[in-house]
Amino acid sequence: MAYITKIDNKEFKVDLKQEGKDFKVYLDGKEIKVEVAHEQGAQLTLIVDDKPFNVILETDDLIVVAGESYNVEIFDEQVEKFMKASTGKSEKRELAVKAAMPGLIIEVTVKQGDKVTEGQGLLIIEAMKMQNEMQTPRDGVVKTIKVKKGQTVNSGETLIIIE
Amino acid sequence: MFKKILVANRGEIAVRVLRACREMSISSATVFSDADRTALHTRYADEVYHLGPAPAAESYLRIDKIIEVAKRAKVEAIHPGYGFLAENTGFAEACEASGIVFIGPTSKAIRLLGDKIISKKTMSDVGIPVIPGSGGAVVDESEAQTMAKQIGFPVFIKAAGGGGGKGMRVVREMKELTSAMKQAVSEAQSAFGNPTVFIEKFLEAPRHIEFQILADHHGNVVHLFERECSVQRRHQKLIEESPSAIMTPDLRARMGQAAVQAVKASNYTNAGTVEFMVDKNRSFYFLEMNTRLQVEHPVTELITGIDIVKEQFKIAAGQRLSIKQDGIRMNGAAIECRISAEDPENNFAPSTGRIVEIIEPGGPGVRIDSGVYEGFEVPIYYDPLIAKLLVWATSRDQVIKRAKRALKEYSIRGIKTSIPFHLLVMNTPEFIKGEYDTTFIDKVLGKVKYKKENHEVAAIAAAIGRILKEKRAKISEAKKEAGVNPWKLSARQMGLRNM
Repeated sequence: MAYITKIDNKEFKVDLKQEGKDFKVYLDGKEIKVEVAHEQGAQLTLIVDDKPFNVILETDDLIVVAGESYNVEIFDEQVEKFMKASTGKSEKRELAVKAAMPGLIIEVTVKQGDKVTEGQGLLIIEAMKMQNEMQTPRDGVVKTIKVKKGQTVNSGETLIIIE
Repeated sequence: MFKKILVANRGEIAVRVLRACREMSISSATVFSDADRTALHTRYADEVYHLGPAPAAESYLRIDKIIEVAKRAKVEAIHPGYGFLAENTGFAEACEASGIVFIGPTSKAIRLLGDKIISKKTMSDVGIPVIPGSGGAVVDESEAQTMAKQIGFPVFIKAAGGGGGKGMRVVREMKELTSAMKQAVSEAQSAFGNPTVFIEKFLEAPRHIEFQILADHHGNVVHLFERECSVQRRHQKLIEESPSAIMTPDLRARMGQAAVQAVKASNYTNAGTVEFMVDKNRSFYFLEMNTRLQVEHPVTELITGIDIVKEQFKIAAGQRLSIKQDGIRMNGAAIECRISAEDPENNFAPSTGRIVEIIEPGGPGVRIDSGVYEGFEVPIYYDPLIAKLLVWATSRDQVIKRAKRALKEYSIRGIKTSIPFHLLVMNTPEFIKGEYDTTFIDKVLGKVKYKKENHEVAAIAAAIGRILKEKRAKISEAKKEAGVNPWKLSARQMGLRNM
């Protein structure tokens, strides 16, 4: 199987073949031996080139490696090729900015159609007695604003869609 | 000594105080809200009493209910912890009126020191240096403008009624003044129920250094040296250490003397903290006095060997201080890292939810004061502080290395925590050299990216994760199609066995 993975916006091509419990991996064409030493629920211990790494597959878009969190996007290479050929665009074009926790929307600081740059504030949520700014993790354009001032939101609720 | 004490708080500080009760064989009672039925403090105390719904205003801030619990539980004294009612004059008064000992200063001292305007004047009258400012409440915009012109920009707008970074704004230009003042007033109103603000000169790049004091009811006052608290974000402390890297024996003696003088000037009793700002020339100014046990008190406990909570009990029970100033020794160095349920890689956004797993560090010189456990759901209603990592070693150099080691061992899963932030600080040259002030986070860390070196492993793990997930999905699909329900199968087998 071949995948295109984006790790904190860095792109890698991962081609891998399972051999028993282990994997033969080609990372951007470079061969790497990967052993799955331990697998329990979301926790994995991978031995990559003889070095052990504790890995937690927290969610579909978040992976923790040796205590460091990484944002992950992963696409099937075949699907990606097909999408590019037919629409000229990648599989996943939109990014939903979700509420990190339940809270009250104090202010929305962007408008639909605004150009935003990585790290720019989008809105302010009040929770745990403090006001917190939600930022866009990448550059883009504000496509949809799903919440308004004074509204309460639940954790994981989509707030704004960036295109 | 008291036979029974009520701890009117929650989280790690409630557990901390309950531990002192247990070590002194004092019976304990505590209170809990709907959100804290399964909290650690609720499981730790000898007796537990329900207060009300989750919001603090309906539970931990209800003076009437807490006094009622104290009477019902027949306690002799109440420890308020920090936050909530710890610095509430009305609560101390209610205790005094009910004949229950409030483990802290008198309501009169809280009132005096809780008002930053009056306290500044009290200190300045006895010759303790204070920061130039309005000296009184600023009522409207035009007064604020006149005052700001007089003092000179930058100025600091502060709530008269509180602390902890709420109701505070730095203003650098006249055009920012109106909106900053509005925000400060509204935050002060919602956080402390008191919209009064005042203005003072904003010191550029100061250090925040505080002195721990103990004062009994017989006129004895001692200080337990300093704590350096300059690693702050939005005026919230994140890391504290003692001794301070810039401290000299002469400066320590002078600041310690000023701290003791501040205590005497305000007739203060019990444990307290005198906060100072120290500028680049090592001139110090009285900032405020915290009339409670501080979050960071264990830093002092580690370097002096004095249990501050036990001292609070003894003082409140009327005992004389058994320690004299010249008998207090400073041994080694200590650091506290506040572990909060916040995502430091996402602008410290709060992160609540269930804690799936905790692996705490151990080994030499490590102390954890925690209010949570594996499986606990961190509620959204209260402060994000969930635990404190404290480390001790023989020198500052060694204690930083030890903190780094302990932080690497510390793993909390299910929620995001400030652990990566602390690791980042422990690896920052300015912190290691002790060359930092209250602008450290904005100026030094603002540009630093979190160190990440395992992108390639993450890429591989993501792909392997995808394959494993698909395989698991196929297996459960196959099971469904085969129509074999393991429960049914088991029941059939049991049935056969019973035949």
